[in-house]
Amino acid sequence: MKYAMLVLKNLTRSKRRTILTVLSIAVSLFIFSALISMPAVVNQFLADSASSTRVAVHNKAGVTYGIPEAYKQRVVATPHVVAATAQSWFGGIYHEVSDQFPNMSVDPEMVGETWPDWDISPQALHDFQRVRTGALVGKETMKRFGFHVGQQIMLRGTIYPFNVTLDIVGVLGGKAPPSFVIFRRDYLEEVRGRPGFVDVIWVKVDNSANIPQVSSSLDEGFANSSSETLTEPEAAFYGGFIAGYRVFFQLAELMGIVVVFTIGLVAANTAAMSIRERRTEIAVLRSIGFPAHTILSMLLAESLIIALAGGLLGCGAAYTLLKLVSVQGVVGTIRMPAPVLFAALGAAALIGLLSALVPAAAAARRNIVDVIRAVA
Amino acid sequence: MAIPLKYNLRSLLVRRVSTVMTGGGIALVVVVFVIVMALVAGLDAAIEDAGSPDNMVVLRRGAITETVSGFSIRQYEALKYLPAIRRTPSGEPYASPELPVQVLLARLDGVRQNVVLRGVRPIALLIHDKVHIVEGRMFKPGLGEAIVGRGLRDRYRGCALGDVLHAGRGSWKVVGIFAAGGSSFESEVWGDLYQVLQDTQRGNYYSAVRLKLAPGADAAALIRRIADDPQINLQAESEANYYRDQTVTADRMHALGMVVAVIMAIGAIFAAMNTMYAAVSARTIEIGTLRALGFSGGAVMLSFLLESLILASAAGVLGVVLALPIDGISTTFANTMTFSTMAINFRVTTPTVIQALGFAAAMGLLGGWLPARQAMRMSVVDALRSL
Repeated sequence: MKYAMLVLKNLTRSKRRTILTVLSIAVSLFIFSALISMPAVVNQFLADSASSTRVAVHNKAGVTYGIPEAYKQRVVATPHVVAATAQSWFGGIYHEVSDQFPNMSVDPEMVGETWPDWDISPQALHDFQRVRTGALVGKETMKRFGFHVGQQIMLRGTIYPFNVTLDIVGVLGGKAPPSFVIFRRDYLEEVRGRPGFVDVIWVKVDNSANIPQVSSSLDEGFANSSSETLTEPEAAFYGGFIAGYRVFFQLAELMGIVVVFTIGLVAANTAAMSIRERRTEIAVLRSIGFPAHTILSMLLAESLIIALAGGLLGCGAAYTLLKLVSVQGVVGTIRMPAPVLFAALGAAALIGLLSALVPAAAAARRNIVDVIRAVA
Repeated sequence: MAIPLKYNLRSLLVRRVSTVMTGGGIALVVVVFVIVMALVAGLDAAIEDAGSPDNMVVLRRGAITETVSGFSIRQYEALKYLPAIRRTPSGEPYASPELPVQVLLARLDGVRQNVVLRGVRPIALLIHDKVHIVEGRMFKPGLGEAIVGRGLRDRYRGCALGDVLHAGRGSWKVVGIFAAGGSSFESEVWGDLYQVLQDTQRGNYYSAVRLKLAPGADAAALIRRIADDPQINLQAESEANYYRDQTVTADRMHALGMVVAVIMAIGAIFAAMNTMYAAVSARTIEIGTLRALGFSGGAVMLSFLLESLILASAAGVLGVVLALPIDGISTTFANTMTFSTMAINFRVTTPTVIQALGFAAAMGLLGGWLPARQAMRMSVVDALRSL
């Protein structure tokens, strides 16, 4: 600790250089953490769905082909099935075309049993079953449009030539996709006037070990009917929709890594310069008795402080920005997950240590006599 | 008088390590910039190039894309003989009723993805100018035949000529492969409209009509007629307009790429500044000597600025060269218009290359400006005294 003052003095010696280095590290970690957050949010979403014991039953030909709603009776009667809820996509928009969020209609009876991990309050579930125009809204969509429970909202149909007027009766929490809005399928069917087909039947299975058995018995049961089915685990079902963005995510990750690498080069360059300038004093310090490892640690500490300051500044800015401005990602608003924050700060620390390691070790080891003689 | 360029080139070589590191940083920024812009150009090409200038898309009123549109066959019948629509010599109108549906196709690795199966009549080939058969022939209606876009051929099972393709409820014999100028149509399967209708079992409706204007016909009047005629009551717009509205994804990517590139450039500018400041202070005595020899302050500033510019431009060229192999590489991307996937090609365009080089030069100039000015303002006596 007694060397802290010296490290601090060294940091403020060339203020301009310190500030420039801190800023370039901050800028790079700002980009890195923001870019990595995009795929991270999606991966988190897929990981959450992978842990559910739900499967999606839909038409083998494609989700838009639909399956008869009568299939639900047979699904519920299948062994190991806890609950089943039919779903039809509505795809409406709120006011503007850009106001998009996933919205769909579901059977109200078994919502709580099908999605126990969505933390829907008993009151909300009760109201959803009672109010025919009831809707449950994800937290993020609530926040984005300033909705409150009890509010009446209208969703404009895009697939259907009509609008639906909904009463918000509760909030979807827990592991529910935070942008989802669900409302009652009986209400949609009534307006639509052509009941009979649904897009997906969500099936809650009692135990993850029974998922393969349930899936194959459902698909075999509906084989050779007019609507053959394909039953997929929840993660695979959502993964299919997200797969198209994979290139984009790979590119985002690549950019993030390139940015960090670039700035690593910059930091190494700067550290080398600042240490080269101080060659003589380092030799003097050693000749008056400072051991090489103390000097090495001081130089490393200096570089680490610069890198971490930059890291905190950059990640902090990215975190705040993503919190304040809602950037719409593939599955709702992009937020910075904690692991990304740690990864970015770890990257900053690594940049700090590695960039100074080579020049500092060289300076601490160099022959004192040579250096001092070169100056004198 | 100007200081010879040789002085700068040699100075760059003397501090080899920091030159390589600074240049490497700038080159990497350029690489990222070029790759992002190549993806954006590919996306733009896939969407915008799908249209033809004298074509119109007719959809249900209020529908944003053809996938969410639907109207009765009666509306189509009322529409197709409007006089503003071009006719073939035999009198058949250039009106193509279409029904695109999303079907799950298995990729070669077995993963199922949404792909568009478009129900069309043979007339479609006359209206979609850019679509032409590159292998085999057009399907014959009613025989369970289909043609496949070339973007699908090497990616999905059953998409080669002669294969039997399971798409939707039914199966199709692939009798032709078509190209569409790199547009998203190349990621579709086209089959007979009536068979696709039957396959969906959703009753009789069409999603869209594509039509070609008769030469000299008034497009605005036709749009009004299609909207106001109670028998038709649909919404028409030019294909150019229709596709321009659909480039949101590409636009967002473009904006994101720009933001990232600019922020990275700021980082690289700081780096260049650091290096040039160090260069200036390490060469204080040299600067003093140059000034004492009679070179003006302006010449010194110009010299340092040029040094930074040379470094950055060389790095820019290196970055472009490193990024070039991405050109032409094909990948799949989400098609937000049709909720399906489409094949796109990375395209490194000439404007992108010029922008990238200009970008690198700007980084060099901005990074070199302040240090060079410092070099200019240095007093000759002080500089020499530091000896």
